[in-house]
Amino acid sequence: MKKTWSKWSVIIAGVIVGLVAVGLGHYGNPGNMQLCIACFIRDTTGGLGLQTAGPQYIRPELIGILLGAFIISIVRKEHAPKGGSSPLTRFILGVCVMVGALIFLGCPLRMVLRIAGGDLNAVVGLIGFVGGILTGIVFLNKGFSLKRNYDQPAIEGVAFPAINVLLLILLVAAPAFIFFSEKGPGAMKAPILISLAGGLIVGAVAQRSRLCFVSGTRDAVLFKDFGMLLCYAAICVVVLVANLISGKFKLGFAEQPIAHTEWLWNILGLYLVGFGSTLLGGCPMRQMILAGSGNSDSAITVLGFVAGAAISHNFGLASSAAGTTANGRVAFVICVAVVFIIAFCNTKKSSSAKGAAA
Amino acid sequence: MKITVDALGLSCPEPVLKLKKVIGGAKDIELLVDSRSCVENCTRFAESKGFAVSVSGGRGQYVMTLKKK
Repeated sequence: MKKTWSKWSVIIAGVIVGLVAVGLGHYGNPGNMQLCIACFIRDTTGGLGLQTAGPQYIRPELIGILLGAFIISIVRKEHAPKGGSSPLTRFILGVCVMVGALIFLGCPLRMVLRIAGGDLNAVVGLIGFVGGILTGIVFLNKGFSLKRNYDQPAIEGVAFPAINVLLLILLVAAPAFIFFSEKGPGAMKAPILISLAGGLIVGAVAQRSRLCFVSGTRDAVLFKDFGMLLCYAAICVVVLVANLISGKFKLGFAEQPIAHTEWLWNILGLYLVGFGSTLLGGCPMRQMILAGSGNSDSAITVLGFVAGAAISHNFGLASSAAGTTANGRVAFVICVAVVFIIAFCNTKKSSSAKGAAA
Repeated sequence: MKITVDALGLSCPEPVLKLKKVIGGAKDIELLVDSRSCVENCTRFAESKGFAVSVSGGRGQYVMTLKKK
């Protein structure tokens, strides 16, 4: 068995993800939001009518990512139904991560895409994201754990992919109870087949490369393993070059697509995302990939993202191009307190070397 | 003396952190993990610390044998 990936394989993975993002942008997805797990979960939540104040569209990219990971994990015999590792805690962390992402306006993947588009607000947000990961690392080093998972019945591992097939059917059939935005970001979309194909490619590549926007920084700090950082760099360079060629690159803070300029809240929003995601063991993209690979704890986490998206828009927490909201700022304080409480309550003092060995 | 580390059911980075705690003075380690991604992460870390790694088992349980070169 090939045990490790080479630097080139993660760079190639990054190039492929970057090219898919460029393609999706070319075919109609919003500017600097060609692919975003948080935004697209929010859109899908709206498409199902679970939130009515934000964009509404069942994003085929997400369905593709999940099914791409599902298929490749089956093919490579890595699909394994697992679950039972603090599921409710993971759900709550998922809610908090989504609240943070919608304060910043994007997941870590979109942060990279925004940087590649010249959006300096995302560069500022990166500071908070790294700060959040470093905070999570402090707890990991002190013994933070959401405890082990256990084998589950086969249906537990296929339920989430099946739900996504159902979502695809609903999208194509478009019954009256499914919502479609007529203007705004939710109305900016690549054709379904292209979006689905793009998602399948990204899901397969991310499953193979273990692409995660938290693990790069986390593992660089914890284990001096810098490989995954090359993947982010590859995505950024590919999208940056495409933006420069197509004239979409615009350096600055003001009037960036679907972004606000409140620097403190860009930092704090992504701080919450980085902190929560580190405790969860992976970024929103990684949770999607693990959910497709049979991990029902990650599926629960994604459902937490869905709940977080519904709460964010129904309760007026989500930011817009005009900036953050008072409700969003209060929600941030509550969510960051909740994440700290979860971190403290699941951290036991680091055991000795002998104690660690079972 | 062989050290056995049971990291079954734990998701990354916890298995690597458990390995990191014992790898300092060890020469012979048996590490139990249950996912391919954990095998890959632990292998990279062990190799960076000068260990030769062999893996047996399959889906559900991998037994990693780490020997100091």
